[in-house]
Amino acid sequence: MANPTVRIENQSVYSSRMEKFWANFKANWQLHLMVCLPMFYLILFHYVPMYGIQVSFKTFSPRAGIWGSEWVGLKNFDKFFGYYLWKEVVWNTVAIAGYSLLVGFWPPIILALCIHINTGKILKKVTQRVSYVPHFISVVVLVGMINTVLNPVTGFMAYFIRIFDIKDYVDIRGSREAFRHLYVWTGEWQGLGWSSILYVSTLSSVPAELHEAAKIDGASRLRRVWSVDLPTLLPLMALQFILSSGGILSVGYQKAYLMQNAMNHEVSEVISTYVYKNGIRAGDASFGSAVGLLQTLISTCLVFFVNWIADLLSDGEYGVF
Amino acid sequence: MKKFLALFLALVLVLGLVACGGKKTDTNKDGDGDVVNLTVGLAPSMYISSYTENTMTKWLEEECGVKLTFVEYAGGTDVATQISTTIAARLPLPDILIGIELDAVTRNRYGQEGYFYDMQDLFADKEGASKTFWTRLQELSEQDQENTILQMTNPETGAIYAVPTMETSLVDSMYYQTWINKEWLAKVGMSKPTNNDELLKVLRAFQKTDCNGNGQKDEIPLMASVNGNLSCFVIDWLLNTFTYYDRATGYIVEDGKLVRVGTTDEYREGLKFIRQLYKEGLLSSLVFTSSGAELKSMFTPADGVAKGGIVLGHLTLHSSDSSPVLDQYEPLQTWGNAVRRATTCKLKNFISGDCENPEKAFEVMMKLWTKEGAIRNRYGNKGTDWTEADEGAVSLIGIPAEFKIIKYKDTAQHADNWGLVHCTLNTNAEYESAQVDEKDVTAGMIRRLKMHAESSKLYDEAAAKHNPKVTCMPLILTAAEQEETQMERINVPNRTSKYQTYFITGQEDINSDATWNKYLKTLKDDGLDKIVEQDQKIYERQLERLGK
Repeated sequence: MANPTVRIENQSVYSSRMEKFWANFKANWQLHLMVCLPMFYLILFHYVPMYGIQVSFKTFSPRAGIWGSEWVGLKNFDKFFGYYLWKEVVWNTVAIAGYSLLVGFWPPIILALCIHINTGKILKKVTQRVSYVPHFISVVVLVGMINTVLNPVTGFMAYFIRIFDIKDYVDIRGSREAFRHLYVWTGEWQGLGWSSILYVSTLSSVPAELHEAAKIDGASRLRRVWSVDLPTLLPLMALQFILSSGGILSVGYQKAYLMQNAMNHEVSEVISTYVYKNGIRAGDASFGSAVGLLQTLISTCLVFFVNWIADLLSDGEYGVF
Repeated sequence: MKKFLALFLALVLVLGLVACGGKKTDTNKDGDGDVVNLTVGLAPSMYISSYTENTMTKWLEEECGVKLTFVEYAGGTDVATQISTTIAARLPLPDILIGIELDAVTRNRYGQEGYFYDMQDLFADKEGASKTFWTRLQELSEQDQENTILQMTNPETGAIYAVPTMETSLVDSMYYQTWINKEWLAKVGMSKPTNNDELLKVLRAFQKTDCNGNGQKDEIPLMASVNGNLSCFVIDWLLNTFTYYDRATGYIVEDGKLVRVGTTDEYREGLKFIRQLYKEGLLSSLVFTSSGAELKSMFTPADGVAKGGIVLGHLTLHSSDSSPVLDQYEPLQTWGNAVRRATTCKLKNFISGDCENPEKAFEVMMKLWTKEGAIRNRYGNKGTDWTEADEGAVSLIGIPAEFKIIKYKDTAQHADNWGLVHCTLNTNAEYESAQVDEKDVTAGMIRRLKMHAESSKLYDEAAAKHNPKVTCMPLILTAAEQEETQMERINVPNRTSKYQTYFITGQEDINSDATWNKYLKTLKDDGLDKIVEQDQKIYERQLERLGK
């Protein structure tokens, strides 16, 4: 039986919160109205489509619609786990995403620090802009550039082979061992400048007083980076790491698909390329949806796990939720 | 000010939402008088500047009494993806779809679900609009006719969801065109190889000698790319010197039984030979990694110095007409089987299930199947771009001319035809059957056409030697059959292809019995026997249907 006293107390708190909310709403109604647009976007494109998850357990027929399609249980998941390379496909995805995360996490921070400690205004601006440009190159063009550079007969590589008189050269584009490095480091080259933007802007908000105080205490430039700049970046770094870990199973299909060939197929086949070839292209929306659901579930678990680790290591300071 | 800003933002939001809603245009309603409006979905050719203002479009509109509007899709394999997503999103399809390649199961599934119109009755009336189709079909070989009808028809219901695109051009139907450098041959003092042993000797001689005389060791004895599409399939060429190997079916027929070529001893011997070529550096190490465009830059390099001893490729796609390097090459006749692409029939043209006037849409498609329609589709306007051939005239390759070219259409953009990819009956690619005045075309083009013609002739001679009884017709599965072996049909071909590459590149040892047996066992575990058993039943069913 509910305790009437507690209920009255709760009601009183609830009522006061509501009052507080309405008071706040009335005072800032313009801001609330502006929030409507992103909220509407979120609801329409991220929450409403969730009802379509059921397609993963159905054979989707556009004529019958999502609700009218026939239930088939776990058949669509069997199609994924029935593929002879499914373990490799999952491993390739995790390996590429994990490698990208580890390799790609530090360089933007280092670049941002370098830009930040640089006192030359022109050099600073040029460095920033030059490092952003590759971000705007499309994946198709990027892979075309990789092929042009690495072709050992007609590409730049041919010059090196000739200059150094290399007898037994291999075509790196077909090398299973080289694929992940090529994928990750070209991605790193392309995204380095762009990824550093957030860090650069955070560093620009470091209070000058902190640096002055450190200077008075006799701290060198490097010491100030270590003791002032880096601690400022830590919460952002934790947030970025936690969010990136969610994407560990989401390697996009385009680059892997374009870089794929018969020789590196076993390491270049990732979840998205497999789904594209055997699901989307064949109009099998259910299969694509089932794999998507699987990826989402694992990614969500990973985000929670990494958040828990961050919480644990920072005594609850850097966890996001 | 704040209120003003908020009101403005709210207005933008509302207007944005209103703008998102679109009014569906009814495309099938009669327009002016008896003119019927039809929408046509296609992947545009890069050489066509406009489809709406295209003279081919105007001709079709006049002939059929229609008004055509176009929905343009991105090209390549993405077209099928776009159609699939359009259907999945429950958006209406254009009335006519041209040049959309879907696999048989997807095609039949969409047909059965009503997205494509069943043209069975329209085709059944052989004296009606489909007369053109049946008449022109007679021009093809008996086997091609059989295969076409087999592929067009749904094996379960007899429904016909697509009008085929026929690619019967000699040049385009070759899996491999082989070109040998005659100057290099003279330099090493050898003659054209006529068997594998001689091939090995010639390639080794090319490798040891500075054949192109540039002082660099940049000669590639055997140059090809498995990614180059037409005429590039070097592995098929070499395997066919050991066994009959058609990549489209993967089978040979022995005493009425289907045998998977990828499991036979002859296939293994073929792979051993290719492995030897690869290991010795005779076969280009770029064979699995280079694209068709890269092959072109290696076959006819900008520096004018030949790099390849024997090159596999389609001259139109993989060489440059203007390159002096091409003068050094001549076709090499295969001593093995010359397999023609069995997929001359491509089911790429549909009438949408939403089309309100399918008879009119069918009439338009049949217009493309007329001789005039096909030539217009490829070469442009009658009277200005081409005309009737002179009495007794022959084409550049010496066969009776079907028409005469007036104006050569080069690669500049124009709006006089729909481009080759949308042809419904392509018998005349590369001016094979055209009367051409040599002064109107470039010397490079004449050279290419003549080289292609010679190559076709040699290929034909070789093809005539092999036993047609071993070839397997295209096998058409029902939806239930596809469902039954869906995973096996993904796993077995993928595994075979993977091992083929690994055996050749040495990542797996083709000479080891243990490895070979492991490969066979893996295929069995993947469900090879299940597929073969099912295919045997389908094969027998189709034989029965053909009355054989």
